[in-house]
Amino acid sequence: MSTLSTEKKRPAARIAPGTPPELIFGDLWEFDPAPESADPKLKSSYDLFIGGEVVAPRSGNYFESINPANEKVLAKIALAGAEDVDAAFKAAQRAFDRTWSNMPGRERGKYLFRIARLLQDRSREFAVAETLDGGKPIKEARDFDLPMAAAHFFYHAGWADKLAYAIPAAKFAPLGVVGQVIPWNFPLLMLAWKIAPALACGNTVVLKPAETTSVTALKFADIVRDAGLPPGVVNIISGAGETGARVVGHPLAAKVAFTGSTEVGKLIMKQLAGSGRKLTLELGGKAANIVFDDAPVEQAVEGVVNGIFFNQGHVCCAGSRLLVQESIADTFVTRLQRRIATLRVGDPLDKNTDIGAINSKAQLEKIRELVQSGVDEGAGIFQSSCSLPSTGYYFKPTVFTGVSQSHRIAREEIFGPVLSVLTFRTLEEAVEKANNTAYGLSAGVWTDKGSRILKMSTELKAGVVWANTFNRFDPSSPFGGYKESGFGREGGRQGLLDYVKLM
Amino acid sequence: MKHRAGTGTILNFPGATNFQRTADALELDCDILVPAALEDQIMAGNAPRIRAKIIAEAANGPVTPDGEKILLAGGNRRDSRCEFLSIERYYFPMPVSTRGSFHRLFDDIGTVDYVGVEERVAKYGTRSIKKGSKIWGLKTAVTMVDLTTLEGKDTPGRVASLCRKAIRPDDDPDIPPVGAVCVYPSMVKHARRALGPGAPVRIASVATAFPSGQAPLSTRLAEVNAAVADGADEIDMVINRGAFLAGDFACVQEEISAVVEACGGAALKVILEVSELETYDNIRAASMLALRVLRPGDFIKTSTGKTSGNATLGNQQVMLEAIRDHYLDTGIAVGMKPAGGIRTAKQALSFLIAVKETLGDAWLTNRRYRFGASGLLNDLLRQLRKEKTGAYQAPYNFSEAAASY
Amino acid sequence: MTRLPVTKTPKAYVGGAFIRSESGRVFALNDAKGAFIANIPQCTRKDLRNAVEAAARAIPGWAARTPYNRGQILYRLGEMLESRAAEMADAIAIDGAASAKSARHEVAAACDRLVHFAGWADKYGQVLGNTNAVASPHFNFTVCEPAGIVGVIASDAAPLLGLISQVAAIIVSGNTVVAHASEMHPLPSVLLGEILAVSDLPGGVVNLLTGYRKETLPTFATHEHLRALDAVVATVDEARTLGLGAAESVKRLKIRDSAQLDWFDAAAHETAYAIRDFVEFKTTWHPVGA
Repeated sequence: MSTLSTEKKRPAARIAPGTPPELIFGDLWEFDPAPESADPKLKSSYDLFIGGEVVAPRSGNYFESINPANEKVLAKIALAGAEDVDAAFKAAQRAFDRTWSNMPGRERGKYLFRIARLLQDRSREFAVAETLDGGKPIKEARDFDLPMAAAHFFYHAGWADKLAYAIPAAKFAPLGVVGQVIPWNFPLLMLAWKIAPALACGNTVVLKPAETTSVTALKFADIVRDAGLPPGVVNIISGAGETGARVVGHPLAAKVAFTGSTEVGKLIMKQLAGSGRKLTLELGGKAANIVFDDAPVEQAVEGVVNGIFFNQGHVCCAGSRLLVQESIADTFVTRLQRRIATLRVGDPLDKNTDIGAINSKAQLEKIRELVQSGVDEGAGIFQSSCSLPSTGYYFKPTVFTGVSQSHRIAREEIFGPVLSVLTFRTLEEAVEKANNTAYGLSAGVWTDKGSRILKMSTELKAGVVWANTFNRFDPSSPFGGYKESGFGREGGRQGLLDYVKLM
Repeated sequence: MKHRAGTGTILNFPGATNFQRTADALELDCDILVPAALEDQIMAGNAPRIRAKIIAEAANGPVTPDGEKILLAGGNRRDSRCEFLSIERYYFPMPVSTRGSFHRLFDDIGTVDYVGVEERVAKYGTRSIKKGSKIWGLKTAVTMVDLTTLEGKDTPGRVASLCRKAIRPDDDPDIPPVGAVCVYPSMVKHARRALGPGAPVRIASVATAFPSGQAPLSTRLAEVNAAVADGADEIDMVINRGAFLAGDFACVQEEISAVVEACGGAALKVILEVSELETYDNIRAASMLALRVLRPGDFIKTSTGKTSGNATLGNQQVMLEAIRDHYLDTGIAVGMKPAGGIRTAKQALSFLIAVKETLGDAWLTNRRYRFGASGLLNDLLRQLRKEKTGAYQAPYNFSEAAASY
Repeated sequence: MTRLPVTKTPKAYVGGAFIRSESGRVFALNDAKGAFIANIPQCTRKDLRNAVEAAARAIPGWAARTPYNRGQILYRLGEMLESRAAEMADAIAIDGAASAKSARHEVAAACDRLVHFAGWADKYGQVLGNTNAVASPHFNFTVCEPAGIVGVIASDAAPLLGLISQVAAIIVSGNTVVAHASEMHPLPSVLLGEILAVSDLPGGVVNLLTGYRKETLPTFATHEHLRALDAVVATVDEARTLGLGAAESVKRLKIRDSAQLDWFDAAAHETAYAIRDFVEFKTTWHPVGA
C-alpha cells in the first residue's frame, strides 16, 4: 500500500518518438442545436401576489428582467414599495391568525402535497422559464431545480402532522409571519427551501425573490392558487435591495430567513441588532474539495468538475478550491483539463449545454475582476478553449494552478466557473488549509479509505461534508454553514427547528 | 546450442569473447546490436556509450525512453545517428509478483467508485442528438455493427443471409455496410464463401470455448487456429474468469498472450464477461490486464451476450477509461466493443456519446469501436429512414426483421 | 326496457394479477336484505403459499426503491382511493357493514391515513435511527431495514380502514405484505386490489386474499418465509395458534384484540411506532482515523 508521500509506481511509457499521445476532442461529430421547445407560458409583465390575489404595485413601478443569454428584456417585474410590503405582511398575519395556525397539521400537509404535485405537472414549463430568466442550462433546470423543488414540498408536507417527533419533549408553536429573502442562483428551488418548512410548521410567509430572477417566483403564485391554499398564507413581493430591507425590517416579521452573500448577511444582522427578531442566514462559501492520492481518480475528477462548474459556479457550496495531494497533483490537473475540454458552454436553452450564462452583467464583472487578480498575483491560468456566444454574459471555465492561501482567488468567493488549485502533503495540512477561511459551508473529501473519510469529516469545519461525491442535495439532508457561512439549517429534521418557537 | 547442451553454459564458445558484465557487451563497436532478452538494458546511463549503428530490438522494451532519446540524438557520435528496427511495439505484461492479490492489483491501476460512474454516464443520456448530427451518428453506428449470429442452430444458409444483410443492410445506397459479421468457428468458411474475396465486411469468429471458456488451453488455441485458417479476420475470445476471481492474474494474461500469438495477423477482441466480474474495480483490473498484452487494433469487449448481464453505459465507461489511461501511458490504441443488450438506436447513440466524450474523435471509427448486436442494425435503419421520410417506420419493412406485427 | 348492467366478478389480487382461488371455490356474499351480490374467492393455504412467493419476488425491488419513491407511491394510492371514494363507500355499506355516512367517513379516514404514512417514508429513519456516541474512536450508526415479508390478518370492523392501517405502516419501510382481508366484508378489499393496481405499486408488494380466516390462519402462523405477522384476533385460541406457529421461525408478532380496536383513533394508529414494529435495527461501526 503506497504511503501518502510516494508516487504510485506506473509502468514506463512506451510511446512513439515525438509527441506524447493525446486525445482529440474535436469537431468530427458536432451536435446540432437542440433547443428545448416547451412553452414557458410567460407574461410580458408580472405583478405582486398578496392575500391570494395578483395585484399591481401601489406605486405603479416596474423594473426589467433581462435574459442573460442574449441580454434581451424578458419581462417587466413589479417593484414593491413600502405600502406593498406592509399589505403583504398584514395579509400574512391575518391568514396566520384566522386560518393557518388553527389548521391541523394533517390538513396543512395536504396543501403542501398538492403544491408538490402541481409543480411536478408543470415542471417543464417552469424549467424553461427558470433558464430564460437566470441563464442556467435547461438540462439543469429540468433535471435538478424543478424535481428538487417539488421534492422539497413533498418532504415537508409529510412533517406537518409529525412535528412532535422532530421536536420531542417540548412544547412548541409556529412563529407567525416569516419574512424570506432569496438569491438568484436557484430561484425556484430557494423558494421551495424557504416556503415548504415554514408552512409545514404552521407559519405564513412573505417572500422576496432576487431582483434578477423573479419570474418563476411570481409564476408560482398560479400554483398556490390552483392548490387552493388559503389566501395570505403565501405572499410574493418582487423588488430590489430596498424591498428586501423592508421585508427584513418589517415589525410583523416574527422571523427573517435570508440566503445570499455574506456581505448582505452582515448588513441584515446589523439591521436587526437589538430587535430580538429570530434570524437564519445561509451565506457564502469557499469550499475545499480535497483529493487524496488513493481516491478513485476519474470519479474524483468528475466530482471536482461538478463541484465548481455546476450552475456556472453560482453555488454557495461550490468546491471552488481544489486541494490535491502533491504526489498526484500534476496528473490530476492534466485529467481535469482534459475533462474541461468536453464541457459545452453556450445557449442555456440548448439541451446539450453544460455551462450556461452568467446571471448578470454585474456578476460577470465581479468574476472578471477576481480572475484578473489571480493573474496579477502570479497564479498559473488555464481556460477552456471553447468559443463563447457573441451576445450574452458568458465566462469560460477557468482553472488557476499554483495557488496558495494568500492569493485573493483562494480566499474570496468568486461565484463563477473558476477553480483554484492548491496542493498538500499530509492529512493535517489538508485540514489546516481547508479550514483556513472565514467560511464554513461545505467540503469534499476524495479517498478510498473509510476511516480517513470519517476522520476528515470530524476535522473539517463545514456544515456539509461530501465524501467521494459533491453537490448532492436532498430535502431530508440538513444544509447550512459554520462561521461566516451563516447559521441555521434547511432540510431534514434539524431544519424544522428554525421555524418554530419553543415555549 | 550444442555447445550449451554439452557444457551447460554458453561461455567459452570457440571464437567468442566472454564478458564479465553483460552490459559491457552492449557497448561493443559493431554494426548491428541485437538486444534480445531483457527490458531496460539501454538507458540514459549507458546510451551515450552505445556504438552500434543499428539497434534491432528483439526483446520487449530493451531501450528506455530516455535512452531512446539519447540514441536518436546521436549519443556521443558526432557523425551519424543510429537506426531502430523494432519487431513489436509491445508492452511487457504484469509481473508475476501480483499473483493472488487484488489489493496490489487495484493499488497499481486504481479503484473505481460505482456511484460516481453511474452519475457520469447518466449525463450521456441527457444529450440531445438531432438532424445532421443524428444522421452522422446513426450511419457511423451502422459501420460499427458486428452483425452477430451465435446459435446452436446456425447453418450455412443462415450465415449466408446474414452476410448478404451485412454487405447491403438497406436498399438506400447511402447506407454503408456494417463492420463485420460475427459467427461460430465452424461457420467461418461459409461466411468467407458468402462474402467472397475483397468484401468490405470483416469476418469475426468467437473462439476459445465461447462462451464459458471452460476447456483446456490447447483446445481453445486450436479453435483459434482453425478459425483463422478458415479465413477469420478477427477473433473474439473469452478470458479465464475463474482464474481472475481466484487471483491468478498471470494465468489470465498469459492465456491472452497465447491467443494473440495464435491470431497472427487477425485482430483480437478480448471478452471480459463483465456480468461475472461484477464490480467496476474488477472490470477495470481485467481491462488493464488485457490491455497490457494487446496490440494496436485489438479490442476489449464487454460480454458474450449469453448471460443476463450485458453491456451498460456504466461498464462501458469503466472500460473506456482503462483504454484511455493505457493509451495515454503507452501510445497503444486499443478498441472497444460493447456487446449484448444494445437493441435500440437511441441506446447506440448514448454509447457513442460516451466514446466521444471519453476517448475523443480518434475512436469514432469501426477500426476502434464496434457494437456486438443483431437487432440493433434494423433499428438504426428504421431511424435513418425516419430521418429521411419524416415518418415513423414499421419494423417489418426492413429485411431480416423478426417482428410480424 | 331497462338496461341490464354487467356485474363484476370479484377476484383476489396477488402478484399484481387478479385471480380466482387455486381451489376454484367461492362463497356467496349477500347484501343486508339477503339478496345475492357476488361470489367471493375462497382462498386456501395454497393461495397463501403462492402469495408469499409473489411477495418474495417483489421484495428486493421494493426495498431498494428510494424512500421518496415509496412515499410518492403511497401518496398516489391516496389519490386513487380518493378519486373512487363514492364507489368504495358503497362497497363498505353494501352488505350492511356500515351506514352510508359512516362508510364515507371511513373512506376519508383511509385516504388521510395513506397520506400520513406516505409522509413517513423518508422520515421514520430520522426518528427511529440515529448515531451512537460510543466510547471508542468509531463512527457508530443505527439504521432501520425492512424485516421482510409480513403476514396480515385483518379485522371485520372497519374493513377498509383497518386493512389500510395495517398495510401502509408495513410497506412504507420496504416490506411486502400478504393479507387475509375481512372475512365478513370482503368487497372493500376486492376494490382495494384494483386501486393498488393503478397506483404505481409494483405487483407482489401487497397481496390480498379473501375467504375464511380459519382456513389460512394456521398457515400464516407456520409459514417460515413470513418474518412477521400483524393479526387481529377475536379469541385467545387464535392468539395461541399464531404464537405457537410463530415460535418455530421466531416471527415478530403483533397481535391485536378485535374487541379493543378502534381504527378511527388516529392518535393511536398514525404513529412512527406502527412502522417500528416491522423494521430491523442495524448498527454499524467504523473506525475514525487517518
